[in-house]
Amino acid sequence: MVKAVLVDLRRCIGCRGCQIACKRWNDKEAEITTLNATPRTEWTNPRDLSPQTYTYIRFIGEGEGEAFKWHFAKVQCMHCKEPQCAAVCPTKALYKTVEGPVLWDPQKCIGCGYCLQGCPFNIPRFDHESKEIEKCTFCAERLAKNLEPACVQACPTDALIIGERDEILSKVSDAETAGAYVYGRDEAGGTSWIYVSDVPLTDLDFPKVSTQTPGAKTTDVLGKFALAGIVGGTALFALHKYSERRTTIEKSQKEEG
Amino acid sequence: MALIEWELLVAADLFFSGLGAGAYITSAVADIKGGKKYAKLARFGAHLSWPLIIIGLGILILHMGRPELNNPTHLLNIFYNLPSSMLTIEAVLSAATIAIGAATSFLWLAKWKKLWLRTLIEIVGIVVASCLIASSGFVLALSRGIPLWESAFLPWIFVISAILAGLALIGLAETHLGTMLFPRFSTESGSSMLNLITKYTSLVTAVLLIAVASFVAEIAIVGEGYEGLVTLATGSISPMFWVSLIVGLILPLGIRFSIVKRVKEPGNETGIKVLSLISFLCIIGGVFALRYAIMIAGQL
Repeated sequence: MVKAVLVDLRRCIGCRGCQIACKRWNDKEAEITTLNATPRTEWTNPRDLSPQTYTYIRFIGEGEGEAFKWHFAKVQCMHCKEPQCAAVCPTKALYKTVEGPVLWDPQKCIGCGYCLQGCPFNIPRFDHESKEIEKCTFCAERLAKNLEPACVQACPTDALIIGERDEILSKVSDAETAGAYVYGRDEAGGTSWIYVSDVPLTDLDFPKVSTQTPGAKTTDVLGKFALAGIVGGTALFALHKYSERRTTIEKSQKEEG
Repeated sequence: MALIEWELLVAADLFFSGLGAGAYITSAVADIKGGKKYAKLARFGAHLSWPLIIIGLGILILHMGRPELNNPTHLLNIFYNLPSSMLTIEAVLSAATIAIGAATSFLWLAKWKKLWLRTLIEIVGIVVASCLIASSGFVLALSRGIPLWESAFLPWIFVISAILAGLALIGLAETHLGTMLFPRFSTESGSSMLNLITKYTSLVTAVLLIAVASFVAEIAIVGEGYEGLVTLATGSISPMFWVSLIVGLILPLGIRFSIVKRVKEPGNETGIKVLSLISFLCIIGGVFALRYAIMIAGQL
């Protein structure tokens, strides 16, 4: 019953319907925004996620003149299979549901902000006014009623398709065979929002994220830490013994002399 | 877009808990290895250690976005996610180090005659406090959202810098400032004790510089945190980073050479005390600045 969403960026026309649907369903306020000053992404508006914006479309222009082309990339929580935000959260306020959404429990959160540092996709935001962690909920309450997430329902081009994870993975494989780039299937150990695109997602300012799960990453860092300690400790010990030996030799030479 | 959510308060928490744990480790080692010779310094370190960690925890509570929620025990939720969350592990180790530090302090104050008990507590304390200072580094290194922090050398930087800061803090007791503020803890052994402490601080400083160089090399070679490394070396936070290295680590090494020269000549006690004081203050400030710079650079 694990749900996943296929985000087919080849179909996205940048209408921002998903942005509006998300705001309406989650009852989020409109924000006063300005156009981005960076030429390549100047039409991206809003420029980033915020406590009031759970999803937005990144507009990325490529090429010049006749060759100019827009790329549109929807950004939201990836709802990782093994979410790092939940792994690092000291209070278990963030948790993964069986259906797929990664959710936040306000009763447990102490506001340490570790989830913000933990997310490899830089998604959660802390609302300093309401003191709440804000991010896409995968419309968990809609999923529970067998409804599609608001953004998926609003998408006019079927760039967003929800289904069982296995079914979505099969569509992703087909797209990959046809030459599309894939993102989210393997990143961070796999996510519930999987992208296909005609350009590498890192070209659309998505972060390069390793495929390791949080557990594997922890083991990796701990192993390297121990190795560095063993190598450094051995070197220091050898240096200490060498210096001790030199002192002994100098002493005995003085005594003999 | 840069989102700096962990700022001065988090850096101060990590610094104070490291300083307290570092002071405990160095004083406990001095007590176990040196016995009566270093008893005053060991006592000084034990008394300072746990209140410093409590200060660190207090600062962390100030940083928390929602400590007041529901009821006063809401913050105890921090102990929920063992062993997955490094912050939970750090909180458990902080609590354990505070308890062990307080127990050691009590044994000193009560002039407990059974030495083996204090030694046993100190051995356990060294292990727990070492884990605490490593865990502070792992809080960053295992967070995963910040590529600059994803280095196995970062926890080592935290371990070594905490021991260095703890050593410098204990050394302060031997300077004019220490004699003035804490007269009961000065060994009054003149410049010989300062010579010994500065010898060890310079050794640990050299090891810390190697750890920082290894950290930089790893990030530069692996590449994922390269952007953060460039920010650390050339961005808006870079002055803090360079000051931490030059004033906090390299200058005390230079001062050490000057002390070595002066120790050989008689009548230089005041000079040695002043130089040591400058050196210790530079080290403590440098350790804080280094941690702060790395923490902020990762988020920029």
